[in-house]
Amino acid sequence: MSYSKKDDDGDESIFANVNQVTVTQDARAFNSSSISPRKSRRLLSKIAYLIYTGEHFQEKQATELFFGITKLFQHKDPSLRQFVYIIIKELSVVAEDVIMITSSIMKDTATGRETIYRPNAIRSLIRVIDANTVPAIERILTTGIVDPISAVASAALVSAYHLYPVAKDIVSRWNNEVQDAVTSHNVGRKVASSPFFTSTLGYTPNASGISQYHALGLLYRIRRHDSIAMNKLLQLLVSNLGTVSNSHAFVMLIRYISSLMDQNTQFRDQMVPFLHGWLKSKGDMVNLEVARNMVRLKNISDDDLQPVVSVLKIFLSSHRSATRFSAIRTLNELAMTRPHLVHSCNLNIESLITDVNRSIATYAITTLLKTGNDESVDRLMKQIVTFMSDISDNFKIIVVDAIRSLCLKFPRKQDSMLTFLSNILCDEGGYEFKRAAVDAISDMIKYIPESKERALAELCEFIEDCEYPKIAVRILSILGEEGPKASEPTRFIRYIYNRIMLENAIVRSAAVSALTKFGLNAEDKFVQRSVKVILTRCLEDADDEVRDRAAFSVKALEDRDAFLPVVKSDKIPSLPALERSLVIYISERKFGQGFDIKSVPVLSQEEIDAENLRIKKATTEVEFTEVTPAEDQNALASSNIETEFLNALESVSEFNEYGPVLKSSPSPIELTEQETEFVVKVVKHVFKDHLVVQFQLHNTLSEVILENAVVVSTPSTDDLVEECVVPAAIVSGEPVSIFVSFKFNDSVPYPLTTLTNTLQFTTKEIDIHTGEPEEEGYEDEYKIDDLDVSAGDFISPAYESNFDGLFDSLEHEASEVYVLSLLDSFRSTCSRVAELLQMQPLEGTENPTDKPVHVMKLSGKLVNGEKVLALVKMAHSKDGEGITIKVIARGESDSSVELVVGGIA
Amino acid sequence: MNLTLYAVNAFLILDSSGKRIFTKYYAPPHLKEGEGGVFNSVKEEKTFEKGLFEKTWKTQNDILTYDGKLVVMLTVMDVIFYIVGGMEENEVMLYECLRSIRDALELLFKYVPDKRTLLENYDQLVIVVDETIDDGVILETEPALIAARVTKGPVSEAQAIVSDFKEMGFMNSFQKAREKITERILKGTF
Repeated sequence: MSYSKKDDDGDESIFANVNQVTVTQDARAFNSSSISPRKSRRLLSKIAYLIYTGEHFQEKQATELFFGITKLFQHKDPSLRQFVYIIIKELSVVAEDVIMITSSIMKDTATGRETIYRPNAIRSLIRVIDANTVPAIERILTTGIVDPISAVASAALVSAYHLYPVAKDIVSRWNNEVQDAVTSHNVGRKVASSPFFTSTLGYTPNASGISQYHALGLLYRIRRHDSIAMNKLLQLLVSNLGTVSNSHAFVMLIRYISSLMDQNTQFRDQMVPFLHGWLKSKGDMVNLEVARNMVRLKNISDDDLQPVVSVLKIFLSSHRSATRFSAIRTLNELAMTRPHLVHSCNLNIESLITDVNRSIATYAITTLLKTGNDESVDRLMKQIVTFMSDISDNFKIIVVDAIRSLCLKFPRKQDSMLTFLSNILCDEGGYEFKRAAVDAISDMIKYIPESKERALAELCEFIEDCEYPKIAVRILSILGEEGPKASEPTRFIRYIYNRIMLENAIVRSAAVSALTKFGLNAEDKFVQRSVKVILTRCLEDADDEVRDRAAFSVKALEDRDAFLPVVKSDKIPSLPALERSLVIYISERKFGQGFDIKSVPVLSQEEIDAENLRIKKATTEVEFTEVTPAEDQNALASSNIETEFLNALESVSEFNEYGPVLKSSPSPIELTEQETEFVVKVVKHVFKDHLVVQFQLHNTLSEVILENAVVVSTPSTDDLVEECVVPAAIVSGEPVSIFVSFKFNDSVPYPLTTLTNTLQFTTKEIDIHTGEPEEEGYEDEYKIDDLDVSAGDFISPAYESNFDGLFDSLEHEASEVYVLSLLDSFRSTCSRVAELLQMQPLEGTENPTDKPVHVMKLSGKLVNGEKVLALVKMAHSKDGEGITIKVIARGESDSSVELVVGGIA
Repeated sequence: MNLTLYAVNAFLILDSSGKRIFTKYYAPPHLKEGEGGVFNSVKEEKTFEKGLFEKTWKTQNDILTYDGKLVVMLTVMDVIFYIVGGMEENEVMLYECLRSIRDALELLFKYVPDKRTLLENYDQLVIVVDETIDDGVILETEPALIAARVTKGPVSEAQAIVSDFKEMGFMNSFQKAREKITERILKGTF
């Protein structure tokens, strides 16, 4: 192959014939006694091209290449040497015995040499060594960490950073050098001389000081488990602000400060003024980092967030899309927790709806949806209508999904939204777009009862001219479910009849099924007779499926009384529970007995709808850019966690006699900080007479294992009596479960108490050389947070379509007044109370308006099956601090209403 | 919140048909087997790239979230540069890192880095990226400082032979002498 100009006609000619076979053969040239740097570098380029376009060398080839390349150390050409180091880094991941090259590399890391490849040598060195060799290079790194040359200091610091996981003890000894690297005005402040500056640039630029960023990151890694030392360091850096000058270092400083602010009130109050100061200087990167971190602080006042909102508002009109994106994304996040603060930015955000960057436009819309009120929703809808014709189908789908979530949030705005959705159904658009619109209307029908009549009518109009059979089938299914309950069901029969006359077989089949539901569910004899006549005619349809369905339907209608108990049943097995029961049945191979479907818990359709509504509302709070993957991921993650805890619970035979689990915690509760040595999460399982507390313990330390781990859990009252503890035999690596079982005291229907918890275990250290735990261990204990057993543990959210009627009919009532001094808005009060009680908000009452008084309706089901409702009336406290609420509970027994009312305390 | 220095998940260069020119997915070294990678296989990587390319080619979506990741993008003639980071990474930090690579390449090549230029100078491209990102850690974002650390391969055997000698001083002296002679010729002061 020649490299003359003639071969440059095609873009690919340079590497057209490069593959693993040719480079392996060519690499034998490395063994030649007369090395050509020019040819060798060309060959290394081919190897690099293969690596960086996805060709993975196998271990044998990589090893052969690696040691061939090491022959190039005989040649001293700097450009060749630098490139050799890069390829060595890449191949060392796969090749074997790479440690043999250590001594050659170490020569190039020596101090006093101002060669261009010294930083490359340092960065390559830590790729070829293992944990046992770290002491041999300790001096190289400690010298490099405080080197005045920027590239050398950064190379050493980043190398130490990479080494930390496998050499914690050794790297931690370099604490003083690393701190020098952070605070010194000499480390990393010099730029090595280079011909590039004289021949190309014309001047020598100043060092960027970025080694400070690497040093600070490493220092945090070394000290992060020592909160006192960390606190002191941050105080030092903040009080001597000349110290931190690099923007990247500032970003990390802000993150470290923020991670401590939620844990320490005094530290937080100290730091807020500094964070405010950094909002206005030091450039976009730092300003935006401050904004995002402050927005995420839990215990920060609205006043302290005002400067953040002001800065973000300015950035919304930045010419840089990364800045606009960051600002709108942060405001979007703030809008989920404090929408009232974002409201003042709405005019600026509205101008982003037409941003050329679609991600920014999408965030603008979803932010406005979160911060809007009844008045602004109308203006937003008008704007959306205006640009709808200008955007692509993909983006239209995002808008429709946003409208869908908006409907759930503002049920009173259903008319304008339904008009919008109906109009776009008539517009041009692809299948996915139309389906999204139909999904949105379907949700309105299900969750906003007042919209049902009109929404069904709009869907009927649409299927008259629908070009997508699958969508027509979907709509017919909706009509079958909801049509019979409408005030005038006969209106819909005509549309369904038209489908039978005009559409293809798939749609006709769906129409037959829908019509059958009208026949079975309608009380009107005339309707029943009309439906039967139509279905009888379908017995002669040309399609097998249509005829079969019609035959079944006619038979069902003729013997309506026999079929009704089957088709009208409101009880549906819980699908996850059904799946679990079936898996157990098959694995235990007890085929002598039939599967007992009665043992599977059943849910009413209303309960299923309530759960789906809760999930839908939760997903509206997730980032909107990828709606479908987010929903899938959430559902998957949620079910994975639930399955993980339940599988562990079912493996304990002691609990079999307790009967079925009546309720488990909706999500694990954390009893430790996330970055501690032992991470403990807990799930509470309520049985008829027992409470089982499942502690999941994760030992994050790789150098020790725990044996016979138990939790000593002490109730604060006599309402719970401990029965047994199931320990974890070995805790190492993967999380394991520890169970504590309590029996209910007979005199109390609902045991409410606080559990004080201490982890006790035997600690054994892992021998570094053998990887085995030592024979001798020692007893130790570890305090974890208290755990409340409260009202919400005995209540599940339950959907109720007729709150007012049921509320009046329930005979037992209790009420109580509370002042919630820590809450400052109706919105936070709504979510807090609903979460405490584990009850379902109804009729959109969890979204307060601007009125001075608000009422939230809640519905729930106790573990014993009783229904319970609550009215929560709230007003701002007269003394200006917090929210005053009055809870009125109605239920089927005194104990149920007292549980609810007492659950707020 | 990302409290580590591992800010960059991947650096990608694709051509105008979505084909790979340079792709590097980062993971911290010294992790246990199978830990830390962004994707498990080249196939998954290419699927990600294909979807990303379809979303961004010939659009102005230069910053977006895709597949649970934050992506910044620059289009230069017939190639696209991407940096992929975690969802929570600082957008401006990633964007400045991406821009510094593009600018360093422009300084080196004295021309916009189109596909042909990148392939012809692949060795310099590799060094630029290596001097900017070290297994996910941002090493430098000043383009001139990055470019200054990039060596160019020897252009002739003669130059290589000279470097065989231990005396780099000789090379420097020779260079200076040649420069002075040239200067005098131009001034006509011989």
